[in-house]
Amino acid sequence: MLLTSEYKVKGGKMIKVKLDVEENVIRRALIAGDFFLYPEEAIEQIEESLSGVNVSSDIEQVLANAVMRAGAQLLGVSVGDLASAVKLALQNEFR
Amino acid sequence: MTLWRFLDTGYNDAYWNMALDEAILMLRTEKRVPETLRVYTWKPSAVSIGYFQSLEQEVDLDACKSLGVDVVRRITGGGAVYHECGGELTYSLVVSEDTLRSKRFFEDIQGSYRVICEAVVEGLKKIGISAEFKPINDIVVNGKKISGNAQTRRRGVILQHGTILLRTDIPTMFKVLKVSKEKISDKAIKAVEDRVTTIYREVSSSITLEDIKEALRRGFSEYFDTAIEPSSPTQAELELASEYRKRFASWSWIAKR
Repeated sequence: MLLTSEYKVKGGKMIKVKLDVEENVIRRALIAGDFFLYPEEAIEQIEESLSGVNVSSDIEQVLANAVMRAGAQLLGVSVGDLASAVKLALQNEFR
Repeated sequence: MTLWRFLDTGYNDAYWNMALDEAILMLRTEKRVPETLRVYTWKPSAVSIGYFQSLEQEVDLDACKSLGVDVVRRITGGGAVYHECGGELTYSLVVSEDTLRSKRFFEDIQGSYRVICEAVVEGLKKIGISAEFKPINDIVVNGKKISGNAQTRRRGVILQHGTILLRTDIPTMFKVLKVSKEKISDKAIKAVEDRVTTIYREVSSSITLEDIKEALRRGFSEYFDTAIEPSSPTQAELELASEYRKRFASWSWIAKR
């Protein structure tokens, strides 16, 4: 099942999430938007970190770990914002 | 004090424009070229999208095709931009982090945007425009955006590029960017016009592109306290840019996300 969200961050940036979810498990995630992340390639590791994650997991913790492992720095959005955008997409199914 | 270069590469297509920025960045990491301020324009008009953006979510490809507007993905983050041919001037600065380290505010990535945008602000001052940096990555005049900026880094070298609006073509911008259809009303166009300003609106439209380029060169030179001398791209830059251009023009890169 494909779930999507658009999450406007305070300060103006936009996060657009697409999740492929099967049997309560995220199979693939796309975290798109007009934010900044350095190094840019870290986005792939961050998205990958959500693969295989149960929808009831602590999404923010998963993302925070991935950002830290990648040694990445966000600008314009926080890890909490990314998590909120992902959770918003999940709610679009589970509400 | 080291000598910086000023490159005016004129009108080129989107793929070449992005390729040359990256080529300068990469050769700077190898110390094969000096710190460089480049100015350029876009022909044909193009949409550039940020590294993290999804092509299908941001760009109306059919509209771009019918209007002859190219589409390119940047190596920098940030939002989608409509670069109208003749409607804006783009600058790029390739500079070592070490060179900027002594500047106030430089301590983090947000601070480095501020430092480089302050140099743009200094340049705008030369043509009588009183602008200021607005976090995260904008430059505004009386609260209205006149410039958007984006940066990336490779091995201790920063590339920041940004646009400076000369005029707006909001109806075309709304066609090529995917804005919700109700936004394409006269009211919505007015709303964007209220949030954005341009050089021609702030000063006179008799100001030339050459005046603005020279103002930027002088502004950066004074702000960074260094001579910035007109020059040309090196053979190595042109060759590397030709190579990178293929990637920027490839569908696999453009539609990467």
